Amino acid sequence: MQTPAPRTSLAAASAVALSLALAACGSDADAGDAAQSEDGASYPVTVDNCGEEVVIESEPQSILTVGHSAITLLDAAGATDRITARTGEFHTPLPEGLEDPPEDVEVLDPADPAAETIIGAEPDIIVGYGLFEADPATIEAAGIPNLVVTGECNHDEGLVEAITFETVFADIERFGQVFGTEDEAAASIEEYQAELAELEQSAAGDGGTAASVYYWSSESSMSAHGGAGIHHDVLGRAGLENVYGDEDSAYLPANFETLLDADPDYIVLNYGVYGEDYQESLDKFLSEPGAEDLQAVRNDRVIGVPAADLNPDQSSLRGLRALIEALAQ
Amino acid sequence: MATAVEPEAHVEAPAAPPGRRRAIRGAMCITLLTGALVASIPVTVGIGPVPIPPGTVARILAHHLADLGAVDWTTAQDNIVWQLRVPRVLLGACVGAALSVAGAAVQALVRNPLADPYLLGVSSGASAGAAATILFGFGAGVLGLTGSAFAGAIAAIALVFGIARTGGTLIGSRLVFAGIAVAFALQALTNFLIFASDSRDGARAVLFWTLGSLGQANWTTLPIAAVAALGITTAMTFQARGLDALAIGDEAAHSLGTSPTRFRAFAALLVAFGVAAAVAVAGAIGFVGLVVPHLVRRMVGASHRLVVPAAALTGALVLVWADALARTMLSPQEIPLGILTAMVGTPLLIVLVRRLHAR
Repeated sequence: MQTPAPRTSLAAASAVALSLALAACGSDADAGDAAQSEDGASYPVTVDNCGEEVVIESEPQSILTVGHSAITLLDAAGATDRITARTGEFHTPLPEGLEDPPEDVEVLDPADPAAETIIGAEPDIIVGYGLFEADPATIEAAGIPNLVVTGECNHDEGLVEAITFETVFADIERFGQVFGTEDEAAASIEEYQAELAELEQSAAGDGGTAASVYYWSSESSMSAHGGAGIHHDVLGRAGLENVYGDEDSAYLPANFETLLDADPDYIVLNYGVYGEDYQESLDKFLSEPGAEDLQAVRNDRVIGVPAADLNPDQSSLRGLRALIEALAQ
Repeated sequence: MATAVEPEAHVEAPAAPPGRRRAIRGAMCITLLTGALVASIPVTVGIGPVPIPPGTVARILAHHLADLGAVDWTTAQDNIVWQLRVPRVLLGACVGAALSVAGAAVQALVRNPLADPYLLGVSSGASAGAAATILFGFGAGVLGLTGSAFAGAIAAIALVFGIARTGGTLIGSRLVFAGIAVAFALQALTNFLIFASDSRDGARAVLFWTLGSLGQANWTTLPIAAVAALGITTAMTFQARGLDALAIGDEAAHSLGTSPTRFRAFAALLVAFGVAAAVAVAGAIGFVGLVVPHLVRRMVGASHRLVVPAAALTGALVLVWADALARTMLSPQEIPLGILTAMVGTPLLIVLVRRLHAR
């Protein structure tokens, strides 16, 4: 089991001292001369970050990313060329469909990065799913802002708000502000909004019930998606009713009997969560006691969607498209 | 998992030969516990995130057990009761019984009240075996995951014996230290395997294993746990005199005609098989094996002829009810069982520790 690294009181004390010093220096910056970016955006920029305000003093030129949603959203915002270090991708390939994929950027740590890795890379800013291994306070004390993808706030546990496609668009806009690339961000948002509208038009969902489920590991029991995550919005826009929609969380370890009881018309099986393919995921699902009696199984209405296409970023458009196409068949 | 130990601290030794009154009281306790367990099984089968009326539950059970009555329930209800809850409740009973008996036996074997069934390195061995299979497919085809965990547990106990047994004797304190050393080494090995591999699945799957759960219960794995529970309870009940003798001390055991080394080896091996089977099907569920034996000694005294069957029944009861809570408290979410056993177990442990210091 992974245990948090012990932190000495000395480290804590110096972190506090450093943050005080930085705060003292920072107050000068508000005095007047706001810097201009290439696009004409002015700094400092204040943005919301998981319910807290973060001040970006000047246009960040180097980004350390943690996870794939950060890269995907930065691509939409037109800022992937500033990524200088990648982490937290766990040996998975870059997401599909990126306009400007940061293929040549070094992967500093395939896993969750430690504080030393982050600080050593000297990025101007971090964009990612939040930090597990590194203490956010340490990173903040080092003067590196840590922007978290809104759909991944608080480690998915206590999301600030229910995540929808609107959240994704707002995130792209936010990154546009931070990196002074508002125009590119706005263009992407317009494109994605049009795609979303077109998809919703073609949605063949009959208002039937559905459950979006997945397995966290080869040994885990089934989990489901509640009403707070992007999966709920995807089901809704496809014209389906999430049977776990009343649950106030994005993810929940769901007792299988609740699925047998709800007996939804459709099962959306998210596969690839731990590296498994669709067949492996389906086999695991079908081996659950009683699964073969579910009407979705009997009526051949189990729909596989790659988990990588259902993240809190524009990749979920791909997931929605796959779901709508499967429903149309 | 190994708990802090005070070598050779004494488990309450059996007092003078139990009198008639004590025997009657013990028999009453066993009868009551049996009644409570027999009643709890159908009652807890009726408890779950999906409400099913008790009458329906009873009819479903009667239908499957005795082919009685016409079917007036849904397929979903049938599956929930018969495919999910019944195996799960029975698995809980078996695992609880096996762990508690193993705990009582280990506490006597090493004469340490804070010993638990995982003290002999069994759970870390099982985790290491499972990790090797999940990460590298080691033995996956031949043994399967359950088999690999079992093999890992047995290998761990063999290692512990190899280290502890020097000069032809096997004494309790050395068994404790060997167990702790092997447990730490195997935990390190497991963690190393996880970090060295690229598998996204590895850390998650092994973590799930170390937390323990009854959520994967089904009719296929149930017999393994049932054999383990019945086997260890029966064998330990028959060997109760040996456990009593060891609980007093090696000198006393000699004078009572029991070879401490031979008996300790025999009983520890039995414990290893029982616990390995329990861990292989349900992961390492904590606290039950540590706390239940103490509860039971307060109820029936220190004689293992009563402690063993009473521990089996109490352990089964505790786990069956803890799991019923685990699956309903935050329904439809499930709380990991280890959290509930710890929530119940820690206060009892604290009381126990305070008593130890008071003495």
